This record gives sequence, C-alpha cells and structure tokens, in this order.
Amino acid sequence: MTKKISLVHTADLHLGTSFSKLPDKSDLLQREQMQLFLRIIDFCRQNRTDILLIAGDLFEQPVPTQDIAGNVRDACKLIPETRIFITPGNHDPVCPDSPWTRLSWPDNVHIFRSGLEKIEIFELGASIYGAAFCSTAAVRSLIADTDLHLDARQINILLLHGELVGAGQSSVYNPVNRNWLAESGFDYVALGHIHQGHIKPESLSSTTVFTYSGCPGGRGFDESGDKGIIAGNLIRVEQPGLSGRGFRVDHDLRQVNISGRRYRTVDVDISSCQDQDEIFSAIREKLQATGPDWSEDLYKISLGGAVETENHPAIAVLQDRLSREVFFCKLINNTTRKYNLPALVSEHSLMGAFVRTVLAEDKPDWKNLSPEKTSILLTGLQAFEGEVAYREAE
Amino acid sequence: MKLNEIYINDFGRLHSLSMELSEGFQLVYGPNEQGKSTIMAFMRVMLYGLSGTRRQLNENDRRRYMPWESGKMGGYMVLTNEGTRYRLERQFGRAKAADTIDLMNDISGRPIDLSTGEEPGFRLLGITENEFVNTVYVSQLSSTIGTSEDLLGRLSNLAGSGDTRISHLEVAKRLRQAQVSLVAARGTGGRLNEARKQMEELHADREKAVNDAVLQEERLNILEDKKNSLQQRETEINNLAAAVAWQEKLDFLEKYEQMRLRQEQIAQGKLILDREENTLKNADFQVNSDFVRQGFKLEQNWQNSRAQLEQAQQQVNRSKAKIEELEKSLDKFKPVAQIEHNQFKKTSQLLIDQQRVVEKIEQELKAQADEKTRQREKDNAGKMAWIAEEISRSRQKLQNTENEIKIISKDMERLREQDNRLQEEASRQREAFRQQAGRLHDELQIAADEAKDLQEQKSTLQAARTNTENRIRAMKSDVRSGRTSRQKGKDGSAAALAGGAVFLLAGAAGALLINPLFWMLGAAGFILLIIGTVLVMLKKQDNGFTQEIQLLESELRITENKYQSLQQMYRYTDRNRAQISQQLERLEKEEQEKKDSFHSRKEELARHKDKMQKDKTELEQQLQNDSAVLRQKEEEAELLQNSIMQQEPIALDNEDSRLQIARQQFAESEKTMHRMLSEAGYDSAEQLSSLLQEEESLQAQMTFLHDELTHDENEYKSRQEVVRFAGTELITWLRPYIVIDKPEKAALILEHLREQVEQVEKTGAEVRQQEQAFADRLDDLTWEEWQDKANSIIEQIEKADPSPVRLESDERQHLTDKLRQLQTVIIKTREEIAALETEIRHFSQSSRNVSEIDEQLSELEKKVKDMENYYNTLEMTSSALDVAAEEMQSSFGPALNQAAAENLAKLTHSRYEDLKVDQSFAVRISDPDTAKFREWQYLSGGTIDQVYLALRLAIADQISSEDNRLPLLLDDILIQYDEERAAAAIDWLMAKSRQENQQMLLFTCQERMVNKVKTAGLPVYNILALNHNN
Repeated sequence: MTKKISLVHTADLHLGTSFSKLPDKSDLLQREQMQLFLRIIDFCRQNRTDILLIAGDLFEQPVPTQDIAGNVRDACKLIPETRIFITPGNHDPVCPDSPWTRLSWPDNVHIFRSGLEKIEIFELGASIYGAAFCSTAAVRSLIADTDLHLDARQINILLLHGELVGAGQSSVYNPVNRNWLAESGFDYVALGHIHQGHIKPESLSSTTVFTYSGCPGGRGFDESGDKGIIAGNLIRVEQPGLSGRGFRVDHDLRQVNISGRRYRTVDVDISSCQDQDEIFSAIREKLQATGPDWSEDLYKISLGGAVETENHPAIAVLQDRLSREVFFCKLINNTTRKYNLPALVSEHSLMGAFVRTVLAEDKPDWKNLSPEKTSILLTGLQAFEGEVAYREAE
Repeated sequence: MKLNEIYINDFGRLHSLSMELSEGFQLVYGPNEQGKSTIMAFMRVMLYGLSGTRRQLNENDRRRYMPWESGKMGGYMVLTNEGTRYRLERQFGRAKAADTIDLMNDISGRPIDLSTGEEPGFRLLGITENEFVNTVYVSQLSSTIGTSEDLLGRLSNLAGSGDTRISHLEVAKRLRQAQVSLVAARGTGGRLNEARKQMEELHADREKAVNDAVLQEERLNILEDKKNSLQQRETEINNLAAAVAWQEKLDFLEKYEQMRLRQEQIAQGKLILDREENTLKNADFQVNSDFVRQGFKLEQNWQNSRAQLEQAQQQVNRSKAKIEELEKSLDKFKPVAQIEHNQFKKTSQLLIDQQRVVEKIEQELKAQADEKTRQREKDNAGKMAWIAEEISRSRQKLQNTENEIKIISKDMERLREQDNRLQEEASRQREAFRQQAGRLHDELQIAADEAKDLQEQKSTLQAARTNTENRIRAMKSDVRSGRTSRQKGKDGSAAALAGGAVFLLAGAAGALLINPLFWMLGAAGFILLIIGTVLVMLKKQDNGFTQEIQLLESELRITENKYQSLQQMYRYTDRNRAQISQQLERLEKEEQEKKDSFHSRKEELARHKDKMQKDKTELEQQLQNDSAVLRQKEEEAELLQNSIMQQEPIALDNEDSRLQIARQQFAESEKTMHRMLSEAGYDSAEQLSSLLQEEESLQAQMTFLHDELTHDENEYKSRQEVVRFAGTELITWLRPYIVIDKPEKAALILEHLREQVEQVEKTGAEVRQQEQAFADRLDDLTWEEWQDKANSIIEQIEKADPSPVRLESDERQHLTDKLRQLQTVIIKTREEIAALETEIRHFSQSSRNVSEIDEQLSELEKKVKDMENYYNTLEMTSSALDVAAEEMQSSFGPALNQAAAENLAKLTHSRYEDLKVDQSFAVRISDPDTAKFREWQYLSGGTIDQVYLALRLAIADQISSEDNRLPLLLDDILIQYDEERAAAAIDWLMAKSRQENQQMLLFTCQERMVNKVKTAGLPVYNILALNHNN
C-alpha cells in the first residue's frame, strides 16, 4: 500500500528586486516576478498540490512594499487546499515590520518565525520542520543543539534556508552540517539560498535526500539559463519488514521549468566573419538556437575570436540591430586582433623577437598556447600598437 | 628575387597601366602627382593586401586607392623567386570579403594554396608586411617625416626594433604605465590598490554586519520570549476573565429573577386597573378625569346660575320697596302753588342768565389784562437777557485779556530763563575756550622748545659731520700721498724680504763654508730683511688707515643718518607747531564767532522782552477799562431786576361799559326776585329754590327707580333661562355614562365618579411607575432579550461541568484583583515588546545587509583577482619585451652597425666611416675631425638623411641573403639631397645593385637623375609615357 504527498518546493524568488541595472525595464520585470509567483500558485492549484514549501528569500528586502506582500498573501488564498510553509531567509528575516509579523496570513499558510518548529499534518501523515532567519545573517545553525526526536511513523520534512557545510567549515548563512543532516532522519530536506538549484534531489544518506530548488526565475546574468521549481511526490511505500518504521519513502521529485524570461549568456566566435552582416547573422543564429522563445529572453553576448582590424565588430550598431529582435541584449567585445603568429615569429624586428620570446618552447604548438601565454602575447602586441590599460570585465 | 611585370587594372588614379621591369637598377621618372607612389603602393598591396579600417584616408588603403574610374581595383604582378616565375592576381572589393587572390606558377599554371590566410608577400619574400615596409619598401621621406628629429626618432626605432614606428622604450613605457595605473610606483594609489583597500573596508563592514545580525537575533529571541510570556499571560487572563464572566452570568440570572417578579407585579396591577376602569365604563364610553372635571364644571355653572336667579329675584323686591318708600316722601310737596312756582322759575332763570352774561364779560376783561401782563414780562425778560449777554461778553473779554497777560508773563519768564541759560552757556564756552587755548599755548610752547632742542642737536651733528668729513678728507689725502711710496714699498717688501733671506742664507753659508767675507753678503741680506720688515709695517699702517677711514666713513654715515632723522623730526615738530598755531587761530576765531552770536541772541531776547512788557501794560490797561464797563452793566441789570420785581399785575377794567350794563341788569332782576319771594312768604330765594330742587330730585329718583325695576325684572327672566340651559347642559354631559332627569342629582353622581377616577389614576400611576422601574432596569435590552440571555445562561450552566458557583464577595474581589494585576503585567510586557521592537527596527535600519556586502565583496574579489592577473601579465610581458630587446641588441646590433657604417662610408665618400647604434638605440657617428662618436644633434640635416638611408638599406640587407637580395623599392628618397650627395647616393645605389645583383626601382620626379641613369646605360621609365601608352 502506498500513499503520496504531492509537493512543490521553491525558494529565492526575491520578490521586489529593483533590477537597477535595467532601469527602463525594471517595472515590467518586477511585475513578471510576481507573475512567476502566481504561476507557482497556479501550478499547485492545477496539480492539487498538498504542500508548497518556500525555503526562504521570498522577498528581496526584510520589509517589502505593502503591494508585494499583500499580493503574495492574496495569492496564497487562491489555493486553500494546499498547505503552504514559508521559512524566512537572510534577505527577508523575521523582524518587527516584516510581513511575517505584520500581515495576517490565511489559514493555509504557516510561517516559521523562530527557532526549529514542528507542524504536523495528520491527514498526510507528515511533519514539517522549519526555522527562520531573524537577521540578515546566522553564524550558528538555526537547528543546532536541537533534540529532534522525529516521529518515525510520519514522513519528516525539513524546510530550511542556509548553507550545507562540511566539518570545520563555517558560514554566516545558517551553516548546516552535512553529516548531521545525513544522520538526522529527515526524509526530505527542502533547502533554499543557493540560486543554482538541483535538477533532482540528491542523497545525503540511505534515507535522507535534499534539494536546493534554486531560484525559479533568473534576475541577472549570474542566474542565467533555465530555472524552475522542484515538484513531484513523496511516496510512502509500506514495507512491513523494514526495521524501525515499517515503510520507506520514495520520491519522483524533479525540476519543473516554469520560468518566464531567461537570462542567457552566449559566446559567439566571430573569427570567420568577414563583415558586420556576417557577425550579426552569427549572433542571431546563436540566439535562435537557445529555444523557440529566444526573442523574449535577455542576453549577454560575448563576441570572441581573433578578427582582422577591418572586421572589428561595430558594437553600437550590432547592439541596436539586435535590440530590435530580442527583449534585451548586451554585447561585449572580447575579440582580439588577428595576428599572423607564424609570420611574426620569423619577423626581423623587436615585435618578432617578442613573439619568439613569449612562444619560446611553445613555438611548434603555437595554436594551443596556454591562457597565460596568450594573455602575455596579446598584451605585448597591443602595447606595440598603442596604449594598454586594464579593462574591467563586464 | 625579381619583379618582372606589373599590370594595374584600376588602382587609385591609375588605370590599365603595365610595366615590364628590368633586373638591376632602373628609374621610374615622372612629375609629381602622376602616380609614382601609387605604383609602389600597388606593389605592396599586391603582396600584402589592403590594410586598415581607419577613418583617416592616408591610413586606409581601401579608401585611399579606390579607383578614380569605375573599374575593378586590382591587377597582377609577375615575379621570379629562386628560379620560379609566379603570377599573382588580386581583385579588391568594397570589403575584405569581396577580395580575391590567385597565386600560381606562371609557367605551369599550378595554383599555390593560400587558404590559410597567408599573404603571398610572406610566402614569396619570406618577410612580413611590417618587415617589408621597414626595409626594402622605402617610401618618400618628405611625405612621412617632418623634421630631422622625427627622422632620428624613426632611425632609433628602426635600429632598436626593426620598425620605424615602434620604439622599445615606448612599448616598455606603455606597459609600465598600465602597471602604474593599477599599482602606483609610490604610495597607495592605483586601481588595484584602491580595490584592495575597498575590499578591506568591505571585510570590516561585513564583520560588523555579522555581529549586528547576531545581536539582532539575540534581541529577537528575547522578543520571542516576551511574546510567549505575553501569550501565556493572555491565556491566564482569559481564564480569569471566563471565571469573572461566569459570575457576571450568575449575577444576571439573579437580576433576571428579580425582574421577573417585578413583571408579575405589574401584571397584577394591570388587572386591578382594568377592573377599576370597567366601573367607569358605559358600553364603549370610558369615564375619565376630564369627563368628571367637565361635569363638575357644568354642575358648578348650573349652581351659579341658580344663585344668580335668586339674587335677581331679591333685586326686584328691593326696587319695589324703594319705589313705595319714595312715593311716601313725595306726598309732602303737594301744597306748593303751581303758579308761584312757575313765576319764580322764570325769574330765577332770568337771573341766572344775567349772571352768566356778567361773568362772561368779566372773563373777557380778565383775559385782556392777563395778556398785557404776559407781554410786559416778556419785554422784561428780553431786556434782562440782553444785559446778561452783554455782561457775559464783557466777562469773556476780561478773561481773554487776563489769559493774554498770563501768556505774556509766562513768555517773559521763559525769555528770562533763556537769557540765564545763554549767560551760563556763554560762561561755559568761555571757560572751555580758556582751557583749550591754554592747552594749545602749552603745546605750542613745548613744540617750540622741541624745535629749539632739535635745532641745537642739528647744529651739533652738523659740526660733528663737518669734523668727520674733514678728518676723512685729511686721512684720504694722507693715504693718497703715501700710497705710491707704500705701493712701491709693498712691491718692494716682498723682494726685499726674499732677497734679504737669500743673501742672509747665502752669506751665512758662504761665510761658514767658503769665506767669512760672505758675511757681508749676509749683512746685506739682513739689511734687506729689515727694509722688507719696515715695508711690511708700512703696509700694515696703510691697512690701518684704510680701516680707520672706513670706520670714519661708517661714523659719518651714522651721523648723516642721525642728522637725517633729526631733520625729519625737526620738520615733523615744525609742522606740528604750525598745526597747533592753526588750531589756536581757528579756536580764537570760533570763540569770537560764538561771542558775536551770544550778543546778537541777547539783543534779540531784550527786544522780545520789551515788546512783551509793552503788550502786557496795554493789556492791563484794557483789563481795567473792561472791568469798569462790566461793573456798569451789572449795575444796570440789578436796576432792571428791581424794577421788574416791583411791577404789579395788571387788573381787569372795571370801568368797561358792557360790564357795567350787565351788572346793572342783573341787579334789577335780583330786586324783582326778592320782591316775588317776599310776596310768596319765603324768606329767601335760596329756601324756595332748595324746596324746588329737593322735589325735582325726588321725582328724578322715582323715574330712575322705575327704570331700575324694569331692568331687574328683565334680568330675572334671563336668569331663569340661563338656569334652565345650564341644567340641560349638565344632564346632556352626563348622558353617555348615566341618564338623569334632574340636574340636582348630578352632584352626587359626579362626586362618586371623581372618587373612582382618582382611584383608577392612582392605580394606573402605580402600574406605570412599576413599568418604568422595570424598563430602567432592562439596560438597553428588551425583555425578550433578557429572557433569551437568561435561558442561554441556564443552558450553559446545565452544560457546564462543574457547574459554576456564585462566589462570595471576598473571593470575587480576589479574582478581580488578580485580573487587574495580570492586566498591568500584560500592559508592561506589551510596552517592553514595543520598546524592543523599536530597538530592533532601529538596529536593522542602521545595520547593513550581510548578503549585500557579500555580493559586493564577491564582485570586488573577482575584480581584484582579474587586476592582479592583468598586473602579472603586464609584468611578464615587460620581462619578455626586455628579453626580446636584448636579443635584438645582441643579434641584430653588431651586424647592423657594421653594414650601416659601410653604407654610410660609401654614401659619404668615406667622410663618415663609422656609425654606431648604442644600447639605448641612439644613433651616433664618428666625427672625422675628432674621431669621436657624436650624437645626432651635431649632424647636419643632409647627413642625417644619408644616415637614414644607410641604416635602412643595412637593415634590408639583414633580412635577405646576398645571393637572393629582395628588390628595393625607393620612392624619391634623394629628393632632399644636394647635388653632390645625390650623385654620390645614386652612384652607390647603381654600384650596389650591380655588385649584389639586386633589383632596385627608384621612383623620382627629379630630372637630374634621368640623365645620370641614362648615362650609366640603365633603364628609365617615364610614367607619362606609360600612362600615354595606355
């Protein structure tokens, strides 16, 4: 006999992000953030989800605007059948003016507001444990020194915002000892804080699995690519022979992509491009390959490769042309000038001597130079042509 | 390596131009702007392609050599290298992508693979474009190089780096600058240092933020404990409140029971009231107090009308009795004769009428007399008023005059005071003037004394100065006169001393060693020594004189300075004295002006005073006159008053004729009356008149009594009607309740009804009072709600386990006290929570977010790492550059020096035979005159040109072997050379070409070259002819 608990696990929505780097699109992106949360709610409604776990940093600020907090609370009312558990994270800790203490939340929402707390859901045979951040940092584990006494008859779930650490490691974001967690006896550990989430749960021990759900939607090019939530079931499989509790807990939890616009970082090698049209086509082709909704996404496009001086990419022009095709793009020119190294090596000049010096023993294999030597070579050759200066990476 | 043929399809201004080239030296001649440089550029572009995307036309081949005509840019070139003939064809489009290139074996037609992007120039010549343009491709100097300095810079670059455009030092400097921009050479500047510093600050911020977070967490834990405690207390207070609520419910039940009993009482009262009210009912009619009251009113009305009827009856009876009594009284007047009576009445009437006429005339006369009296009084009053007015005017005038006198007296008093003040002020100013003048006289005296002292000091100093000057002049004269001899002595002293010493030593030596006669020589030496010593002393004396003169001159200067100071002081004192004198004069003048002013003001005052005195005297005289007039008028008034007082009222005129006639007629009628009365036997007319009047009066009374009786009888009848109406009204009123036949019964019935109505009202009032009391106790609830509530409580009590018990008052008090205590604790806890929340709020607002700092730190760390990497790269690049420069120096330098020196020697016909490029790549040449190496600054412009060419060709030679020299393309390189240098250069080039079998193409616009080359039997191409051919 099996019994399933349908579950959705998300975290790190950071609602209320300013998107200050994209000032002309910030309003739209903020609205889309809220729409993303509503899509999660709608997902729960359509899939009749039993439990929605939100593992911290739902809001960007400890005290979000009344609109944002009010919209989240109202959205929670749309799925009264789903039990929603929220643990405040380091970005939205419990504090006197936070929505966690200020707002009146619907009955289906439970907010962990302090140290480790347990909520039993008898009808599902499950217990949810959670603990909250009370400030923007937690140097000690929020669940340390807690005598858990898990009820073996229940499916035990831990909801937490923090960092998994090894023995002797520290963190100011609720350091949770990986070994302790492996032996804790929790069936599922729903974690938040790391934005690059897992695709599926990972095992900590034979009985305990954990997942960092990651953020469901990117907020910058450091959060690029597909994002999603963790959704599926925890399955209670009766197994009378199993020592201790007489059942085991399986799962079919997987990452489900629900994100809207994606931030994408794309590298385009334009070495072979002969003119600006070819460069544009090469970029466009690369963007199209990202997926059917490619034009809706935000791109950071790094142009690379060695190019002739006359084929130097006209960044402003290309940017302008691409901006008409995609929601947002930012072009970065990382191309280098094309040098005829074999010719330079033999050149009877200081430049030739410099190239020979740098290449030295690599001469036979000059095409596969180490990054370090490549840097030296390019920097030197640049200095032969004009001023050199440190250029900040974009 | 040889260039055999070129064909230009279209390139810049050139179109369909072909040239077949010879081996060895050849000249391409043509005037300027005909395309010589373009042909050279075509050759370069064919070998290495178009270069640059720069905007400047001269740096962008594609734009610069865009065909002037519409043809395709490009052409072909045939060249031979190491025995193989190649054909190179190139076409150039608008962009590189449109360019085509074909290199093939010109004999076999086999294409050469260039797919790797390799340029044919590099493939065939074995040198890069950079090397090509820095060696064998020598463009026109005049167009690329501005000054000799520029040329030398290029020379240095060429020698150092093999490239005219690049200097090792410049490249090293660029790398170093990039490093310095990251880490300053000194101090803590530079972007990397700043970023590191920023990182340190962020780490400190982070540590603080983490500590803040820990503290905030602790505070929040305390807050949570407080909240839990509050929750417990609230639970406790809720329990207590529930217990108190039970007591309240039980209280309510008790109250409800009391209310219920009251409700029953009210119901009972209402039953009684109903019964009582029924006794006052007849069918639907209900007797009430108004009915009874109105009944009594009607009954009283009826009773009153009956009493009035009684009174009317009595009045009729009384009137009848009076008439009977009067009739008896009239009987006594029956005997009086009817005739006498009539006569008497007639005479009496005449008498009365005549008396009335007399009285009327008397009244008229009296009125006339009164009118006259009033007119006289009016005249008197007018006179009195006029005199009073005159007196008043005189008094007013008198008063005015007195006032004017007082004003003049006051003005005179003020003038006296002014006079006094003027006197005082004058004496004060005189005193001040005396003091100030005294002070100025003193100061003047002091200044005069000072001037005298200074004059004396000046005389003394003048004398001292003259004395010192005389002494100096005398000493200078001495010195001058003794100087010649002393000079001579000075000159001779040394010789005398030296000679003396020599003679003395020689004499002593000769005397001791040779012959004692030599002592003479010694003696002469001794004398010479003495003379020398004297001369030295004289010299010292001369020095002493000089020093003394210097001292005296110094003293003179001091004296002069002192004199100058004294002179200055004297001038100052003199000026001061003049100023004081001026002040004194000014003061005296002012004093005199003031005195004059005082006198004029005093005279003015005296004039005023006299005028006032005169006015006053006049006024006083006028006052006396006016007083006399007033007294006269007052006497007149008094006389008038007395005369008025003595006037009698004017009496009526008894002499009036009408009055006398009337009085006479009246007297006659009176006589007639007396006669009639005496004839009738009456004593007097008064007696008869009295009897007649009495009878008349009784008759009048009789008439009146009869009228009254008639009236009383009418009144009686109307009263009877009123009684009947009132009775009917009473019976009608009572009919709705009871039917009676006589009004007499009404009183009893009404009395009974009144008692009953009072009883009903009393009962009703009691019931209403009870109901009001009941309603007051309902406390905003309806009775139904009371009942519902009570039932609900009873239901709750039945369900409650254990059943609630009513507490005693002390127990209740205890409960209430505890509740109050808990409320106090809760309020306090809530205040603590609020304070804590405020503190946390403030704390969280002032603390930075750790994750924000972490994000900044992460970015900064990445940046720092990036910068560090770049810094290291720059460091390694610099090292590599240094190594490369050393390689250039060691491998390239010596051979270059030698080759360049050889070239230069040939170019200058061995005037300059040695050339050196030193370690810093500065070019130096050995000076044929001094055999020393000299810096380029010492060379002439022509020589620098020669050096440049020598070095250029030396470097070109370095990159190709002697057996396969690369063709040399020279664009008017000799244009700046003078005749001699140019001839030498071209000779050398032709010789070099011949000796080394090197193809050379010299492009020039100089005609002088044409003959030279032609003379040598070498080919000359005229570019005009080439174009013409095309």
